Amino acid sequence: MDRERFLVTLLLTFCVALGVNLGGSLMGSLGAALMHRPPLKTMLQLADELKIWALVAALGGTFAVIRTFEAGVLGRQFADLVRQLLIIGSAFLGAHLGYLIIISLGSNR
Amino acid sequence: MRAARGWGLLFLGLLAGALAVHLCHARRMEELYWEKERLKVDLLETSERLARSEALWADRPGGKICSVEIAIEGEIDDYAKLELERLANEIAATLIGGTIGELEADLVIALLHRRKFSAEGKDYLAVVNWVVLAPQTLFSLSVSPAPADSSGGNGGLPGGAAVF
Repeated sequence: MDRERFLVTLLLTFCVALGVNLGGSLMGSLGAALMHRPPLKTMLQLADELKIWALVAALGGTFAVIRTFEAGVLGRQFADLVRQLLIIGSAFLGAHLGYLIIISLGSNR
Repeated sequence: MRAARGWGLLFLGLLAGALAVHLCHARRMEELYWEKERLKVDLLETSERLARSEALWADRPGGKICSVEIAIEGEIDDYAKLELERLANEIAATLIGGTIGELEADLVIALLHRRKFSAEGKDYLAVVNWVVLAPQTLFSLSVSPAPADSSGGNGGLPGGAAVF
């Protein structure tokens, strides 16, 4: 049960990070087009800039993670530490996948 | 509840449609944007070039007449030709210092056209063939002995003379 909840959290984090990057970049590009700015350039730029914010948004703030790290290191609860690292990795993967999708949409080919 | 859901779906559909259309045309819009930027740069360069050209044009030395030369044709003796050149030069010298662009071509021709000159005891009638209005202005005159009943002077503005 605990493991299932962890997997759900992992997937949720991945999807949130992916959605933040994809949605932010696409909607930003739409806004750029409405304001007569270059849409593809803006989209690529936003995808790059939003990667780190997608990570933060998916993790739901940094304090809880830092506290878990503290508890993991000082309290020697290494299982929690690994879990948090996996969640961060999942968020990073989601954000990076969004970035890659945007890159493929905006590339010249 | 159902209405709210409907509105939500409607806006979601709107956004999805807008995004789909936007993604279809984004590349073309991007190209047009960069073309617009290039044209802006071109326009700026052309405007600057035009401004520089206008400044150069405004500062150009005013094209003024520095000298006048008379070329005389006709079956007359050399002495008479020299005298006629001198007389015509005296009249045409009034053009020296004048700005070429401000001169009236007809009036320039009328200075010498159908004018009667006296040289070596005989009267001659000059007809202007053509005039080159330039810093070194050139008149081409055809001179012939004046008919006995010719009153001389300008007999009206020339019809056949050309100004270059």
